[in-house]
Parts: sequence; C-alpha cells; structure tokens
Amino acid sequence: MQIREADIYHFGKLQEKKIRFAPGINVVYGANEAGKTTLHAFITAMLFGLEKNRGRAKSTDGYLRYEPWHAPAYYSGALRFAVDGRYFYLERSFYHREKREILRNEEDGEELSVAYGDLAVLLGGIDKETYGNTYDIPQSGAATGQELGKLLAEYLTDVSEGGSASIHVTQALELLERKRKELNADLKTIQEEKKREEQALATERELLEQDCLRLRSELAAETELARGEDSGQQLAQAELARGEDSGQQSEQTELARGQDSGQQLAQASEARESVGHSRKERKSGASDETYRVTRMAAYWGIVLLLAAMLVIGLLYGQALLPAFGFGIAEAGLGVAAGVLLFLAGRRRGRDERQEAAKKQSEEAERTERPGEEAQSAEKQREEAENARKQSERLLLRMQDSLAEKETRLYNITERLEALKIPGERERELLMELEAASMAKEEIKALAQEFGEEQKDALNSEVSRYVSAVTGGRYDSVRIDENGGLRVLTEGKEVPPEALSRGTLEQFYLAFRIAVGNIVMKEETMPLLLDETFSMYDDERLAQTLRMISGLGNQVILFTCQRREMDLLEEAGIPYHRIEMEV
Amino acid sequence: MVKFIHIADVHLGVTPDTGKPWSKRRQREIWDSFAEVIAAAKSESPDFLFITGDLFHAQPLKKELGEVDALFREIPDTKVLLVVGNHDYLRPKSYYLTYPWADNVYIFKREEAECFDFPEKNAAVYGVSYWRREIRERLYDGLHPADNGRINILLAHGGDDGHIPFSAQRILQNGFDYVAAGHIHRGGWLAEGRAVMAGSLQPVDCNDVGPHGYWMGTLTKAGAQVHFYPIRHCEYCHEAYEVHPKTTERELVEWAGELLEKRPEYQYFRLFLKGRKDPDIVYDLSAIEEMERIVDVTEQLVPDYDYEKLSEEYAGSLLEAYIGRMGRKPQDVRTKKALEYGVNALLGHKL
Repeated sequence: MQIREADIYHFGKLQEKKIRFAPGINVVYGANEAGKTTLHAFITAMLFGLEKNRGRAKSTDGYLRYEPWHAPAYYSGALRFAVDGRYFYLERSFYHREKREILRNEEDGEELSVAYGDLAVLLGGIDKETYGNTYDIPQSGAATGQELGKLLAEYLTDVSEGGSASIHVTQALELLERKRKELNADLKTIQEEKKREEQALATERELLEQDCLRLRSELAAETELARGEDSGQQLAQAELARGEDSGQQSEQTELARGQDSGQQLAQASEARESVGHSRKERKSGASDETYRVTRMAAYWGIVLLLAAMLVIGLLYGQALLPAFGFGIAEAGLGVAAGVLLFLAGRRRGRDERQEAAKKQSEEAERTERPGEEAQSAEKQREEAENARKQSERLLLRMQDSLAEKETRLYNITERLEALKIPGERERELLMELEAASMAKEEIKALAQEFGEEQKDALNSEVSRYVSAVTGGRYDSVRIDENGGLRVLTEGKEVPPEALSRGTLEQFYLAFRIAVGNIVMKEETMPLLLDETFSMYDDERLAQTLRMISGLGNQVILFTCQRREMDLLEEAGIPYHRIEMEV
Repeated sequence: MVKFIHIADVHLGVTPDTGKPWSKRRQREIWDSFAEVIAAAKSESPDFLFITGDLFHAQPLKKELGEVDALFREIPDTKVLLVVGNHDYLRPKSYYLTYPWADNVYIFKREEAECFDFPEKNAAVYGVSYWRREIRERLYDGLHPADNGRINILLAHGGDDGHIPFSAQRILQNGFDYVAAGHIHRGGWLAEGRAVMAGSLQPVDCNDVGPHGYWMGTLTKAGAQVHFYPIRHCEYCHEAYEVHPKTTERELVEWAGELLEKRPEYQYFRLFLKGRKDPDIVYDLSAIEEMERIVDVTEQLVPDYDYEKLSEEYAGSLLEAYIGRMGRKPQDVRTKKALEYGVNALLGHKL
C-alpha cells in the first residue's frame, strides 16, 4: 500500500490540511507541537477507524483526544492511497453521532463498503493491533535495557506461539494462572468453613458417643442391680459409686462442651470436692451406729437419700441437656447457664442431703427405744418399696436419656454425611477451576505446536533483519525454550544483559520489521516511524536508514530533528520532505 | 362434609441460609409458622389437620415431639393425622413410635399403608409413613379404598424417583376422592380440586421460591372447596437482569436497590445476571451482595464474542486454533467456560 494524500478537514489541532506523500521514504519534519503525532494518528484512524471507547479503554481513547470540541461535526478527513496499482479514495467522519465512511475506487468510481469489509481486504486483513505491534513503530519508550530485553523475548514468544502479533500467549497464561489462584482461594475459604463445621460436629459426636457408652454401661449395671434388689448393700454401694461417677463425668462432659474457661473448671472442681466431703460425713455417721436394727434403718435411710440425690442430680442433668440439643454453635451461652444451673442444682442437692441426714439420725435415736421395733419393720418395708419404685423410675430416665442422645448422634452422623457432598457454590468453583486449568493446558499445548511451526521461519527472518540493522555485527537472535533471548555474534553467545541499550533498540526495530513481513503476507503496509531513532547514534542511524531504504516499503518517518535528512542526503538516499509548521 | 387443614414439609429444626444474618430468625420462624397453623385450627376448628410428611427436618428429639404434642393438645377437637416423611423417617428407635401422643393424634406407624376410619364423619384417611430414607416403589398405585361410600382421602408423601413416585390421576382413578400430598416444596394443584401438593409450609432453602403456606377447605363426596392460605415470614424470589454489553455496574446496583425498595419486606432475593457482557468488563457485585435480603448474586453471562467472526479475524493464529480445538471437544459447561476463559486471556482481557 502507498499512501498518496492525507486530506484533513478537522482532526485535533490540524484543520484544512492537505499532505501529499511519495513512494519510498517520506520525512515529516517539524518542531514539537507542530502536529506530527496528530498526523500519525490521523493516518491510523483513517486506516482502522476511531472508536469511542468505554470503560477501561477510555484512558487510551484517541477519539476524545482529537475531537474538535468546538465543531465535532467536522471531525473528519479523507485519504488517497494505492493498492496493487489501483487508486482508492477513503473518506471518514469520526463524529460518533454521524459516523460515515466512503470508500471509492478512483478509476472506475465504484463504491465499496467499509462496513462489509472491503477496506479490510485492501489492508490484507491486518488489524489495528497487529499494525501497532509491527510496522507502526514508536520510540521504544522509557523501558530500561533489561526490561527491553524481556519485552523483546516476550514479543518473539508471543508471535511465534500465537501465530499473530496481537495474540499474547505469555500474558494469557499468566492471566489464566492468576484466575486459577483466585478460584482456588475462594474454594479454600468454603472448604475451610465446612471443615470447621465438620470438626464442631465431630467433637459433638465424640462427646455424645462417650455419653452413650457410659449410659449404656450404667444402664446395664442398673438392670443387674434391679434383679438383685434384695441385696441392699450392693445397691447402695453401686449407687454411691455411680452417683459419684456420673456426677463427675457429666460435669466434665458439660465443661468440655463449652469453652475451657478456667473459672468454670474451678467451680466444677469445687463442686466435686463438696460432693466428696459430704460423702465422708455420711460414712463417718454410719459407722457410729451400734444396734443392728438402727443400723438397718440408717442404712435404708442412706439408700433413700442417695436415690433422692441421684434423682435430683439427674433431673438437673436432664434439664440442661436439651439446652445442648440444638448443636454446639449455640453452646456459648447455653453452657455458661447450664453449668451454673448444674452447680446450683448440686448445691441444693447437697443441702437437701444434709437436711435428710440430720432427720435420719434423729429418727435413728427414736428407733433406739424398745417396743417400737414392729412399727419400724413396717416402715422399712414401705421404704424398701419406695426405693424400688425410685430405682425403676431412674432406670426409665436413663433409658430416655440414652435414646435422646442416640437420636442426636444419629442426626449428627447424617449431617456429617451430607457435608461430604459439595454445595452449589463449591461445585461451581470446582467447575470453573477445571475450566481455567483446561484453558491453560490447551493454550500451552497449542503454543508449543505453533511455536514449532513458526519458530524456524521467524528465527531466520529475525536474524536476517538483526544482521542488516546492526551491519552484520550480530548474526542471529532466537528465543530458547524458556522464553529467553539468545543472541549470537560470530558463533559466540552473548547474554542479553551484556547488550547495550542502543543495540536492543535496533533489535526492537528488526523484530518488528521481521514479524511485520511474516504477518503481512498479502499487503505490504507503510512503515510508520515516529521518533524511532532519537536514541541512535549517527553511525547506527545511517546503517539503519540504509537498511530501511532497501525494504521497498513506503516509509513515513516523523522527526523533530534534521539528523535523519542530513544522513539520508549524505548517503545519497532519495526522500520526500514534508515540513510541518506550528 | 369434612373440614380440614393440610400442611406438609414443615421441616422443624432446619437452619435455612446458614451464614446469613437472618438465618437464626428463619429457624425460629419455621416453628412460629407451625404454631400459626395450630392457631388457625383453633379458630377454624376443622375436623382434621393433615400433616403429609417431613414435619421435622431430621430425627426429632423427644423434647421436640413434646413441643409439637403440646400444640396438638391445644386443638383437641381437631384430629391430627400425620404421615412421617423421608426426612424424619421412622427408625426403629424413633420417638414417633413410642411417644405418648394426645388422643386426637393419629400417626401412620405401620410399614404398609393403613387406614383410619371416621364413621361419624363418613371419612376414611389412608396413608403410609417412611421407614427408610428412600422408597422407590410406587406404593400408592395398588391402593384402593375399602369402602367407596366413604369420603376417601389419601395422605401421600413423595412424587420423585427416590420417594414413592406417583400420579395423582392414577390414585384418583383407584377410587380416592382427594389426595393431600407432600414432599415437593413448591405447592399447587396436582389435579384441580382433587389432589394438591401442599408445598413446604415455609421455604426451606433459597431455591424454594414463591408463596408458601397451608391449605384449608371442605370436602364432600361430590367435591372439594379448598384454598391456599399463605404464611409470609419469608418468600424467596429469583430475579434475573438482562445484561447487555453496555450495562454498567451502577445500573445493576440500582436495579437491586429498587427491587428491595419496591418489594415487600418478607421477600428475599437470589439475583441472576443473564445475557451478554462486554468481555473487557468485570462487575464487582459485592455492593449488591452486602444488601439486606439479598441471598446471593450469580453471574450467568457470556462474553459478547462472536466466535466465528473472531476465528476469521484471527485466522492462522493461536486464537483461531484454540476456538477450533475447544469446539471439537464434548460441549459441556466446563468446556464452554474454558473456551471463554481462554479467548478472554488470549485477547488480554481480565478474567
């Protein structure tokens, strides 16, 4: 393609300007602010259009930058160009409210359609981004030498693996990996939440299992006892032992359910001590008895008392158990209240016991008197009957308590089972994670396939231009498996860090031209050089200009210095000079 | 004529929307709604209260049955007929079996279908409880009323593959006059005026959309007059927003805000974004998700790509190869998502 004429109606600071271009090298010369960059932007806008962007891309929006704010309706221009020796006229209005394009074959006057892709065909299918990544060459910017080296390596990798100058494989893989990490983090949050619930449930289950185990063995002992009812002593001892035991155990259990607050522990152990204490009192009281009958009476008294104590203990125990029935989550307050209640209950139980012990010893005194023996035997029977009934009730209560606990255990097990199945959000995240991994793997594999195909062609093309640009100082440049830049000079390898910034700048140019040649198979586009050479020294610049003049492309070089023109004249290279005035 | 109230799937004990600030309140409201039905029974004094399964969310504790029984005792003149569902099914140790129920409570305890006959009302009520979590047999198909002169009512629970599949028509053809069913949480007529799926009394999770409540009416041999009575502590709504490539985040936040303002307090929302979006835009939806009564927001957006056009535009590139390669894989959700991710990444868009 040859650009013949830019006809600017209104574009940024340029108005009513007609600029003619020649085939070969054109030097657009002008001081800063003369409108060189605007002219450059006008050319690309004419070729590829100028969209008003939204969102993130707004910051790089060329539309707003060049819109004539006082006369937006005149935001337009025309371009005359030649493709394969045929002349075309392209006119565009950029104003977003009345966007309009005219494309005409200047020889036969045939109207073509930009919207239907006729212009794209004339451009050989090159898009704005590809052009921007190849022939449309700005200054390499403020990148340091090392950054530039990395940039170049990435550029070559992307081109060879992506098969296009606008597909960025390296960046794509990075984006996908970042997405994977994000998804993994989200998934972990959910799974940890679940794990916490599972652990809480497992703890509750363990406690319940212990409780059930204990209750079962107590129940077995109790049933055994109920059978051997007549042996009073056995019963008393068992109850004594069990009362003590279950008291301690349930205290521990309840405590374990809540937080292990030191205060609670202290209270509990205090309570335990007082239980032990009152038992001692009772024992010493009993051993003081001398008469058989009174001993029996006292004995039954103890049995009664113990039974009463147990019933009270269990009642309170029972009363607070359901408080935990709704799961550990609620345990906080429940436990605190429960423990207090429990302790209060035990204290009350103790008081009642002391009261009863007092009464009973009074009674024992009374029964010492002779002649009342028959009456006391009657009483004994009555009491024995009561004790039996109470023991039965006790048995029932224990069975109930066990069944209730087993039900809770069952529900917890079900809930744990259900937790194993991933929830809706979890399944979604897992799917997305798999998708991101899949995309990454597929792109990696494709990049490798592409790379194999493209690498050789690209490497030889790049090497050719690197050699030309550097006047033969560097023979070959290629990208290794790790995406690193490998530079060879006279058969020796030079680490990219060792290259000067100037050399890397030359590589930058060579790469872009080489890649441009590969991707622009159908149509050779003009080479746009916007202050590309400001960092070059004279010798290198002269070399580069010679190389460029041999390319055969139309070249439009924008500069604010006379240097390029002087060197072109020195080298006897013809060029067309376009002067821009402020 | 018999007058009745019918409820199902109360799921007492469930904790809906765990993690949401209203979760505890909703747990209480489930109990409250049940108490409200009892209150309705108290003032309307129907002959029957039918509870067709899943009164409890899990195996009930004795204490919980105590609560329920106490409520039943408040309506001694209403006969409570209860079928146990798959959630609280009758384990051998279930308290349902041993609890000393009030005299007005009739529980279907047998492993096969049974019938409670009420000659004074000329009504016979059939039903069967769950003895295991799943029953795949079509138990109701072979069930015929013993006395065609009675008003024959079947209390059913199920309707999907794992839970006594049934067809209301078939049951009615077998000679039943009315089918009161449970299990499916979304209620409605299975056969107009003759068979009803009660729906859960309250929504149990955020996918139980629409109104929930109880059914009440009268029944004769000639037909039924039954109506739905909503209980509105909570109603879940799924709302979708049609996103197009120019939709802004602000627009979405405003939409959600307006929705909450316009709609009654008892409605809770799951929001869905559907349609095509600008591939370059990533919506931050946290502002919406933090609003009250918003359960969650789900993006079901596809980036505004024309893959065919992209392939043409990027002919010969890795992008074209990638689109082609993904297109040849079995097309499931995962592959589609992977296509979207890969194309986005290759074009340098945020993911």
